[in-house]
Amino acid sequence: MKEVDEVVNGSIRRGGVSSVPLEIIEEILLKIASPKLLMRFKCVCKSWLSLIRDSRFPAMQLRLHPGVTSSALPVLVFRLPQATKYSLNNANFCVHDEDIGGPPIFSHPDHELRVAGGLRPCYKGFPVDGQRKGYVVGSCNGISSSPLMDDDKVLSVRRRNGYVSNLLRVYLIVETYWSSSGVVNGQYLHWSVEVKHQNKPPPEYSIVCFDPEREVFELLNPPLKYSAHDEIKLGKLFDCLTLLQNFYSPIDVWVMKQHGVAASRTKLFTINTSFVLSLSLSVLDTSGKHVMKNTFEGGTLEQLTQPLTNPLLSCASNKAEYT
Amino acid sequence: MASSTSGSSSSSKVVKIRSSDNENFEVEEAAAARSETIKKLLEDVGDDADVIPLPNVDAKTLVKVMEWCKKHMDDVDELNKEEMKTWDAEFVDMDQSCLYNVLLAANFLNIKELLDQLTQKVADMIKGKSPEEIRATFNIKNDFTPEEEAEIRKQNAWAFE
Repeated sequence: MKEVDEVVNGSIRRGGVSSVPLEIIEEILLKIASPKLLMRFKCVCKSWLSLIRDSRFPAMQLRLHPGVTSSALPVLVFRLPQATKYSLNNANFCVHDEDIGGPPIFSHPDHELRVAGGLRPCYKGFPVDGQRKGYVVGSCNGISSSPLMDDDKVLSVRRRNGYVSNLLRVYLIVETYWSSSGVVNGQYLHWSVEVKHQNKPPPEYSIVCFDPEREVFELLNPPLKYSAHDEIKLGKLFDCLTLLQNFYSPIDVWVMKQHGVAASRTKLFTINTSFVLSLSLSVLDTSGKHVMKNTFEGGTLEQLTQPLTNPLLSCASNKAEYT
Repeated sequence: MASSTSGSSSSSKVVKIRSSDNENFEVEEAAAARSETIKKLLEDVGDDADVIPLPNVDAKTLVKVMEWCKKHMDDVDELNKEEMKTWDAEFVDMDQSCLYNVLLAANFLNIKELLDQLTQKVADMIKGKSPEEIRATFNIKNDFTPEEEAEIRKQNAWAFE
């Protein structure tokens, strides 16, 4: 068997000392359905890394596994940590190169993020060759609306290459690691999740952070210890990731001043109220005013109109009154 | 295994193939034609074929491959599917060096179904292995610098938990 030695993407692919040619290694890796294992196998050697990183690889892999249809587009499937009940074989989804539904929820010069929820079942018989069409079946929600089904969610990232946006990356996110609302801050997309431990109630809350640039999912340490009835909601204030803790009074609002640095979190203010709030922490910092909106019961109600001190400039704690 | 004719199939043609270590085998054409490579060669040379040389496959490996081809010569009916599955599972259960030889031969002979079964077997074998163990298995040299490897591990840290 001849040694496979070809130049792909400027890097040399070689079988190394191994007598097993790279084309066979590729066949073997394609049989591995677990993205987690593939991630682990990236560090075997450079040729394995380039095989797994190859943009064609995930699509080829998906085609191999029954029940999964994909277009000819590069599709990456990621699994978030600790997820146990998900397997590729019961994931039915398909994407097409026009849209994955819903308006873009991420406005980065290079990326565009959309989220689709409830992706089962899908149309069979897709894709039709030559016809670059397909459907995402199920509800395709913007990130702030509730998904209809407790199911795996797909986060698609479309890279904008000038005017050509033909590279669609899809991340499958298991239910445990999904939340219906997310917050974009800087280059990252964050959402809060409830991490359930087996036989170990109560659940803990954590924050999933996705970096589309590096294609990395991370779990940020929970900012605080929560009791069973607490909840956290994410928002953005002064370009800092902001956390709203608890829906019952007193409600604490925290900011994380430095991305991913748990120690940089600061309690910004506390809201004392006799109401049970369902605050959508959407805070606008236009004209020096900071407005917190309450989207409870469908209506949008301004709840707080008061200038706050930028936590990046000062550590002073703000006192905010519910108005 | 040489020049055997299975009773179930009608008097079929026999082709001669030669291993890299110059051993000749007579195989039913229907079995040998499971290999796209052999099939193509047969089509090219027509009935004038004397012996088809297979310079990449040694006798021991060729016996193994032809054993599979013979078993998979006919279409399997529903009743025998389970039996065939068991047979296939036992077939791929061979020692590592033999497995790689058959794998390389299946690749060279272009027998897609066999290649699929063998690569699946290897994939199952490496599933529980660490990157270090995989390097040892495949005799792969780690060509990352320690810094590069650390960076990849860091980026994919959750996969190593």
